[in-house]
Amino acid sequence: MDRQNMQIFFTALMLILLLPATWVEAALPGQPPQLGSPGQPGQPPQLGSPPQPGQPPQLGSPPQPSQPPQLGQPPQLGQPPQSTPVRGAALTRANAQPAQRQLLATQGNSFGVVWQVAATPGYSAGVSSRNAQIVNPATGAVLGTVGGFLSQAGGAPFMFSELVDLPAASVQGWVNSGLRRLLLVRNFNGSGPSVRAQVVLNISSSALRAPRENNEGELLVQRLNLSFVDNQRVKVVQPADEVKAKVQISYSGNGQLQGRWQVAEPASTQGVPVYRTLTLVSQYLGAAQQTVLTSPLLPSNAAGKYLVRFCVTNREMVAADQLVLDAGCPSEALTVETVYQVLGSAESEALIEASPQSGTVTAASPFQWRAVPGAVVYQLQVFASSAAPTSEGNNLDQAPNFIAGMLLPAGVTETTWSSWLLSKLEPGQSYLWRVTAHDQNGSLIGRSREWRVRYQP
Amino acid sequence: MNSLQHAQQRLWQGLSLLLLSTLVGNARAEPVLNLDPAQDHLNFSVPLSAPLAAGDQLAVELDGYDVTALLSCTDGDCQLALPVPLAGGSHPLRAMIFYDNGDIATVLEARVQVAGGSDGSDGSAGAVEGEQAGAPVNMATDDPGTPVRGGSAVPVQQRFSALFSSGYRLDEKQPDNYRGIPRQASNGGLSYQGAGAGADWRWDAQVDALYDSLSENNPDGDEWVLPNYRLAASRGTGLGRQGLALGTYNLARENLLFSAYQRRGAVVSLGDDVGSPLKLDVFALQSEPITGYKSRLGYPSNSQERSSGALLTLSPWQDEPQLLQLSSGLIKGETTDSGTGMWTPDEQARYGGDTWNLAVDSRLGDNSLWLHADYARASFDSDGIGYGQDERSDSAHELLAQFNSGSWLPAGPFDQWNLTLQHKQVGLDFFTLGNLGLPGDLQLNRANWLGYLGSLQLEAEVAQETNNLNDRADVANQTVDRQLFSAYYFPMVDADALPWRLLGVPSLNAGLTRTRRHQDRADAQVVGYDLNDETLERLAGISFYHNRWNWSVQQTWQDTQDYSNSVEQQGYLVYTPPSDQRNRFTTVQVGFIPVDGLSVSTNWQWNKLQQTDDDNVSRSTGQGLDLAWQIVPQRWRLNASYFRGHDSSRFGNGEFLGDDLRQQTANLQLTWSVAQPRGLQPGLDWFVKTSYARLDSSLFNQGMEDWQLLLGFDLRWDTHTQ
Repeated sequence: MDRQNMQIFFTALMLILLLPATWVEAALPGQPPQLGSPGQPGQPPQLGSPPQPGQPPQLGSPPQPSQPPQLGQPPQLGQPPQSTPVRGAALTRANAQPAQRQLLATQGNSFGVVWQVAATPGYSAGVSSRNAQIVNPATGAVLGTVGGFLSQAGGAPFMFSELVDLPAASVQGWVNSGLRRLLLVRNFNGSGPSVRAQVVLNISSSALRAPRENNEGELLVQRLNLSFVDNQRVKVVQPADEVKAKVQISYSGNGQLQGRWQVAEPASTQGVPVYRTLTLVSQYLGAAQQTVLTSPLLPSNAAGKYLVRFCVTNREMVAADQLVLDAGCPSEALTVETVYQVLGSAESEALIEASPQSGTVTAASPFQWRAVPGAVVYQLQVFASSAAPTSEGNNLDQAPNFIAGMLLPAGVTETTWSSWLLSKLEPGQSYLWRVTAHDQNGSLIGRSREWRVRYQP
Repeated sequence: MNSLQHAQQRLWQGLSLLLLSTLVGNARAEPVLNLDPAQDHLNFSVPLSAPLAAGDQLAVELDGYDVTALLSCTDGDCQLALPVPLAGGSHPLRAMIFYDNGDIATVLEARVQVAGGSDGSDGSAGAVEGEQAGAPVNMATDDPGTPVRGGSAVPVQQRFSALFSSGYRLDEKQPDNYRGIPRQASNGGLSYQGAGAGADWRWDAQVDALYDSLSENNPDGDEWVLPNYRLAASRGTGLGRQGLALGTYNLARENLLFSAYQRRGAVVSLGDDVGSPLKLDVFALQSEPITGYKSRLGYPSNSQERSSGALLTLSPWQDEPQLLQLSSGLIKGETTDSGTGMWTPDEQARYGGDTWNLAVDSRLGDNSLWLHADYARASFDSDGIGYGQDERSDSAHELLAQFNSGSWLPAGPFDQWNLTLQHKQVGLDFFTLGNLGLPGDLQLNRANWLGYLGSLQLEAEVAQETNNLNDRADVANQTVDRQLFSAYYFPMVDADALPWRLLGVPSLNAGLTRTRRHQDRADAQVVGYDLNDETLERLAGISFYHNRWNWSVQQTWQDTQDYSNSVEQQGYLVYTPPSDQRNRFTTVQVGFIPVDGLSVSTNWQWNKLQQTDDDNVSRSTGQGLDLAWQIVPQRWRLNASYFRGHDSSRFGNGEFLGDDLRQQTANLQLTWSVAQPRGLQPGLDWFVKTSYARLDSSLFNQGMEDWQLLLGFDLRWDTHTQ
């Protein structure tokens, strides 16, 4: 099942079982305003095989008896106080996924919440919840209610999916009141003490201001901006041109970012694109609000259409209603993609074996290389060696550190550095050098590696 | 007129006065040697007061290259052989004499003017990072782009390259996955570059376009995409240069106003970056980065879609322009935060306002000291036009001083070093259309030191970031302290001796970064969040380079300790401290060229992320392989790639089921080149290609496997080849 069909399947499943979308009702005196419409009696969501009453849902690996299996990451933020386990059957805990959600005052905010309720073994009294409340934790005031009545009979585990709809006007009102952090809280009642779960709602006046306003929370990606390193958004590339992309990530909070660079190549882009991962990303975001990640060298040897994308794979950032299985990119909302076209297939350049490859050189040191058939001119280039090396080699294409060069006619395969070139160098410094071969059109037909030497007169 | 407009008016008046004071005979007269693009030699004379003595050497430099080896001279009359054509434009030429006693004299400075092309100073699109001032404009470059002379009476240089690829899907495993996707699909692209010149004017044009019959594979869902186009004309040189451009405009500045800014629109230019004390660009651009072809191609008439402004650069002393350079910018308009390749949670809200800056740069003592100051001010509606508050004003500034060993500062025990001190402050309400992602409400203080000692490169940095510049009571005061140390070592070894003859020439790198984040204790109850953690990151790597192979291993260890406290408000637990975290990342890469025409590269990655308090572990692994093989040069070619990945997670809490996702992908393409492109005559390739994908999820108990097989052809054009 491809990515699109998988998404449709899960979305349809969720919509069938979710509460309907809501409307705003006038608040009754003494009651907080109702945000959204009253919900229908809840039905447990179906993830995988539908659960039978009294039987835990089948989710891949069979759960252990008396241990209800749960989906997703364990909640880390805004956990309700742990209910003290009681003897006898009782509800034990409840949590919500996602644990936090961002609300913007410039748009309607609609998001899914999955509530999960666990109980002690043998519990069979069912569970119910009247509605969800928007609470200002600083004062304890209930600002409004959303959703409606949820209930399920029988034993644990209990799982409810709910679509919460908070209009922009409500959020704007909270912004105007200076509120920045609220809770969406549901109390679940059954036999014994009730349990409570909550979602932290971080409020921002706009998506543009969110990286600056939302720094009191876990890592949250606010903006992805993908381009090629020359700032073009879509690129037409000559054969074997070096192509790299970069993604500028704006975020609030700090933490570990996980992601991957992927590419779909011409072998699949004339049908259904098949993405393969070029590199995994696991990086701690220590600086505030922004980082730029550069892709590895993108393939450009074969002619045709390429799709390149970067996706964030932090599961805690993926809302329950957005989960999509697709070759390692869990959320379309946290994926950015662009395209490039290679206009021909590259004929591999001849690899020029050259020396010296290391060591100290003087004004009289010979620089030698293997002749390349068809070359009319050789170009010897010298670069400053300040670039940090990468696993792909010395990184000459990221900084303008060319110092000087020499042009030599065909037939010359050995030279010393000329007086003019030596006048550009500092004694005791290290430099990178390489030689390239060109045909009568100036096309590159051979290249040596970049080798590091130290110049000592 | 509000205070901002008044300030802007006074600013422009001051700049105008400064401009007038600099417009006094700064142009330097240099002899110009005209060259036809088709000429394969250049004749010129070198004025010699006396014949060269034994031991004296004449050296000629062209475009930063010593071309003496291509030179033949008789009594000062020289002929420079040009084995490849010179690109259109201006090329600096210099002749020097290196005397036996060590003196150096410059005896000729001239410019070689080749008809057509540009100096690359007009912000044309496609400028690659690295191709900036100081980098060579090579006669023969890795990306020659050397145009072929056209047949017009006025020398016109053009290059046209294109690809049309058509494939037919012969078979697939899962037909259901291809519903709505026709069996026959085509895609392609074209690139055109042209340039021409007359007496004192010149023009250049560029167009890049893509086509895909499967329009869903293109960013906007259209079959055609126009990522780059440009038509520019200019007249005169230096200060008298006037230019007009329509199309893609790549603004190369990186400052408080702009970063990585490229849009399409209209630009009028005065002056030049080279040989002129002044450069002025006035622009009106489409606000969003777009690549469509149906609309928004030229001047943006809709004010809601327009960002307009100006850039001014003044170098009052043309003899030594580095001593003082003044620059200023202005950008105003409206935009959404959306476009090709972008994602934001709200792509509909509109933002807008105006922002200006004034910057001063000075490089003293032969680059021993670089001073930079930048001040900017904005009046911007950042919470959405029509939402919340109207435009709010704020400012930003940056001060930077860089010290380099050399003329003024002794290097000491090091071969070379530099020290950078930076102070940067961006207000909460400071925004700019030229860089919507600019971090704000931040103050940054940073010191960075870089030193070179023989084969050793060292770097150290300390930095501190603080927020809440307005000291708001409802915002937590957070501080990030960061210390970094890294080292790169390139031992000088005998590459012909063992073991280096087998392993390759080594290089090593290591680094240590410590980041400490914290906020005032009292703020936790106010904001419902606590911040107190420390992250230590260590990395080490080793690489080997041989003529035929290279391989490297990189390892990263990262540990985060959290010291924050839970926060309870009104009985609600609003913040629970996260678990301590441990991250391990290993990368191994191997590249091998066993014979010319065959290259193989592989990479392996392992990542383990552990939340130690909860014993939650997630692992990701990936193994990739790439192969490119010219079975018969210019005839048969094979390209292949393979990837295998495994993502798994395990929770210490047995109530939760972890993920387990396995994936494999493979691509294979065999190409038969029937004919190579020659001028406007296309080349023809036939290909057969296939792709395979498999995905297995244990959590969802679902799997997917598919493959597809295509047969087709490519038509290729490239007027660069003869």
